[in-house]
Amino acid sequence: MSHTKLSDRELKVLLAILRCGVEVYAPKIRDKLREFENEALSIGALHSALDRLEQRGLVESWMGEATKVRGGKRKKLIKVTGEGQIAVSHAMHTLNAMAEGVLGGDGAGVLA
Amino acid sequence: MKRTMQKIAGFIKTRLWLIAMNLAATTVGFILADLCIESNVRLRLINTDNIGVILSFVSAVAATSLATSVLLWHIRKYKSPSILSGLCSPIPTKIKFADSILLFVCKPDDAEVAAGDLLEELEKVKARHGRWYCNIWFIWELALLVVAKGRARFTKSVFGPLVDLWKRKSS
Repeated sequence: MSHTKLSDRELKVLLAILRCGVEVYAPKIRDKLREFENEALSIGALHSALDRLEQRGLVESWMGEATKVRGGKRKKLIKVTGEGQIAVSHAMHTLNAMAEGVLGGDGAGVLA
Repeated sequence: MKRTMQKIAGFIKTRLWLIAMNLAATTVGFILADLCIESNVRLRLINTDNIGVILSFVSAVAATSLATSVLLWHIRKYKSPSILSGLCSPIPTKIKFADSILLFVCKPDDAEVAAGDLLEELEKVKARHGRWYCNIWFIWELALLVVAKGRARFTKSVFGPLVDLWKRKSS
């Protein structure tokens, strides 16, 4: 069975969406990514990553309500689809399998 | 003395964007001049190095004065120049400006969402770093957004029909 391949950025964005929980939209994802990385992703880069993920059916989006904080502009709410969750779990399994024996806290790994 | 220093600081602060534009224009001028010199050296158009240096100086000054005069003309004609006021204006005007620019490169819904996201982040950046940094950040992020959205639209509109044709032919 072939799995959807994810780039590094796509994987991070999907994980950030899953971590955010409910009512996820672009600035929330950006904040979540900033929590783990010093460098923040630009809004343009995040939007194009989300568009790409949506085109591939890994996330779905719908228009939310307009708020005063956003100057009366609506937000685009985002959710990871089932296919997206499968893609994330497959990517993480591959990463973990590759990291096994390389990373080791007990001194067993190459990078102890 | 202190008052004079304050006056000078105030003058520089109010005309910071003009100084920045001048510096940018001078840089462009010097780059052009450098290219002139390089092509002169490579192609041996003119056999004197002094001419290259003079060309460098003249083009740098010309670019600077041209940019400055265009800006001054713009300010005099429209009182508040549209692009500059859009970029350095209060946040709600900035967002209207961003919205209208984004409408050129994406659908109205996408433009609305992108402008809203930009506003939300802009408020955070302003609170964290202050007004001038927020202006520069806004210009940079808007440029990146326009490039990102515009590239997607361009790719779709130019290569989309070709890909469709190829798919139809292969099926």
